[in-house]
Amino acid sequence: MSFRKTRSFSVLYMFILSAIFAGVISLVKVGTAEQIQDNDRIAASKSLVRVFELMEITPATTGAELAAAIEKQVRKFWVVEGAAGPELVSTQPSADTQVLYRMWAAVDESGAPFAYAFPIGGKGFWGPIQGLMSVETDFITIRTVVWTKHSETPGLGARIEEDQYRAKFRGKRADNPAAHRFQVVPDGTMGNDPHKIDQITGATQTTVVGMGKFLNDNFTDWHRYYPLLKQHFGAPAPANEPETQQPTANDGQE
Amino acid sequence: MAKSKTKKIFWNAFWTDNPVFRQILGICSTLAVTNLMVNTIIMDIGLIFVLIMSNVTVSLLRNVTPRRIRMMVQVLIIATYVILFDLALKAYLPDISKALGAYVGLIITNCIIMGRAEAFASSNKPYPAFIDGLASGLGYSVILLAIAIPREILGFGTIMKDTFLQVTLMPESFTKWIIMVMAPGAFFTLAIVIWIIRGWTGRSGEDKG
Repeated sequence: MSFRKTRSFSVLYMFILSAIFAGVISLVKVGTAEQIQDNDRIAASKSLVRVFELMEITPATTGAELAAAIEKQVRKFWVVEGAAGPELVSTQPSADTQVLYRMWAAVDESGAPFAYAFPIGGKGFWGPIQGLMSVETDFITIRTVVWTKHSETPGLGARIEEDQYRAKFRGKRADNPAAHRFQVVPDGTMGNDPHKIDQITGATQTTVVGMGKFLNDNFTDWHRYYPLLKQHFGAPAPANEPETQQPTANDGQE
Repeated sequence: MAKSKTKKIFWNAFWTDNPVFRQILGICSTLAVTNLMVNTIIMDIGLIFVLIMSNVTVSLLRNVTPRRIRMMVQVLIIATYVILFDLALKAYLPDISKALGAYVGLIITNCIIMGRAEAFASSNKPYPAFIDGLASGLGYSVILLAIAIPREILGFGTIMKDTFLQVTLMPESFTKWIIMVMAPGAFFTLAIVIWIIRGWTGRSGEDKG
């Protein structure tokens, strides 16, 4: 019997072939790693720029432009477990620190905040949904939302990403659910109620069941931690302050 | 190789033995990615790439690969090309990669690829294997588009939605058939497409056995 018909040849052959193919994949993976990381970074920057409506994003917008806008106007905060309970830090905590919460503030030229943002998300229909929500300096009035990750059905649940739907959040209130529960109601019935948002017809699982629950959970967390931000920045700005920022706020309204 | 033979291989794989409506293979992805034409087209490109590359590779290795481990080798080859395609999408077309999500990785489970590797590439030279891969891939793509187009028109009122080619066909007052973009719409449309094509091409397939 020739060697090529033996069991050892089969094993050797499979072993060598696996090594070759795994090698090719490793090379390509290493070769594209930087690009993929860049893409993730750009996607994260875009979300922050969009949630604070810092600039218009076009296909020509570069990662550097986004990074510059964020560097200039966005401050990041982490809530970590401190000696005397939760503590707000403005520098990236070390990897072994347990991060309880993340928050962002957008500041104007003088360093005064004009908006805050916090993470939202939870269980969707097909998988987890993640996003960011921005609020005015009263910490409650919603400016806009962006979704960073979801796997909802295109054309149904995925329509939460559409500008028309995102615009419906503007002016609603992220009150503490213990006092005012945020409700997802049948399409077209929300009116001016600050605690009601329209559902998307055909996407009940995503909007009513998913969002209806997780937004309230998210708001509970926000109310637990935003006093730390309030402490950090002092008293909220005068009531007319957010108004002056409105002209730039065109993202969700077109 | 003679031109007529190439043509015959192409036509067989593309139409006579069309993977979707004749062999009923690759139905899982047919149902999953046909609610938007743009998703369908990217899936088609991925499948054609993987099918051609795996067919050619399997064919090149056909004389050295021991019979008893040929399936393991085929899976290894197919998986490699699927991962390469996935990495390329993630690096250069991140938005589309996000939209397709798990479906790209699932190309590996598409029976058409393994079916062609086993049925054709493992016993033919690289060039015919290349033609067979291309034609099977195109045959799959054509049927997927035939399902995607009516689904998108009835479900969204558009064609090529979410791309720069987007055309809105239906008037504003058109009530979108939501069921068409959900899973049941895929089943109905697939069945209707198969019914129409089989009715049109006759029953020659069944007659031959």
